[in-house]
Amino acid sequence: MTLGVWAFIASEVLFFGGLFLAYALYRHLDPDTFKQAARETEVVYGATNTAVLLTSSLTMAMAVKASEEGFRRMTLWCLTATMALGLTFLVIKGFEYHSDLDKGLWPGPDFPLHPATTQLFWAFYWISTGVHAVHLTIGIGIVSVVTLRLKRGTLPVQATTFDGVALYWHLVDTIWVFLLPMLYLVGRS
Amino acid sequence: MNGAGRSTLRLWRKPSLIWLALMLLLGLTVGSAYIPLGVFNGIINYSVAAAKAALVLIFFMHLDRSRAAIRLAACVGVFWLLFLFSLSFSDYLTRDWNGSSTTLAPQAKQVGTRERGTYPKARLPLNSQFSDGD
Repeated sequence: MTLGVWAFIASEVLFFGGLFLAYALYRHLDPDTFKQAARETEVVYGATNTAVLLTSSLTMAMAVKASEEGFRRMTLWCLTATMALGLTFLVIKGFEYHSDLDKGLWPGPDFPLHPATTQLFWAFYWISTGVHAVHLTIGIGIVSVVTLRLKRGTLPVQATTFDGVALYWHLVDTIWVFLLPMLYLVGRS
Repeated sequence: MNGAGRSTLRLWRKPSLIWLALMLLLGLTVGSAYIPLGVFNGIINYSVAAAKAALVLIFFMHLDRSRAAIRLAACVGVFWLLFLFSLSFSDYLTRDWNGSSTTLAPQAKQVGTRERGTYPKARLPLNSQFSDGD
């Protein structure tokens, strides 16, 4: 099962790798306007969200550990905490999107920054954070299903399912860890 | 969270240390972004991101105690990324587009700057109906 999940993770790396390559190429082709566009992202939201996701990885890893040791209540609490932190990420992201849209940073005719290539960075921003948020939502859904099954008793506490779910969750976290310097830490100095 | 009293607390110790390392790396990367270090800002940021990813991969995703097949599968994704980036950049770094010059191909800057008809002629025995009358 673990090998299958890792094969899936490799395919997800493929998917995001393509997006990251596009970012790298466009940044190479036009570095100054890229930095100008990237200054408009809000570091506070980005850094807070990174801390939230890293903590959710901790609680997810603890859920796996607890399940391996057979501690049912601890597993349930850690899975619930993971979901809560995931939802916190989405809420903070929602506030951040609201702030970005208030500044008009949606690529299109009314884009507030001037060289048109700044829209490339912002297109990348919306696509990559949007796709990442979809992945995170799917992850929260999977964790909730697994938590419910554990609660009802249809899934035994020492099942390997938790390990597979945790691998997916850590992948979503790792992707965000790379999105942080790409989107939020460019051109800050 | 007290599934079996005190014993659950010892389970938290190592993962919490990893978490602390991740938080410190986060602080380092955000903090160093505000110090003007030129190209080293990017190097530091991506190295820290790779370090965080490595910590998550090895300790949270259990690569430290996985069998070889799992570790290979984890490396496969990374190798693919290396191929993707190196091959794609080998293309883009050897062109001159939109004024973004590159020191790797000074000859590339001269593409399109010579007079028509002054380019070196092809040496293949071209079929006369397809050559452009030079």
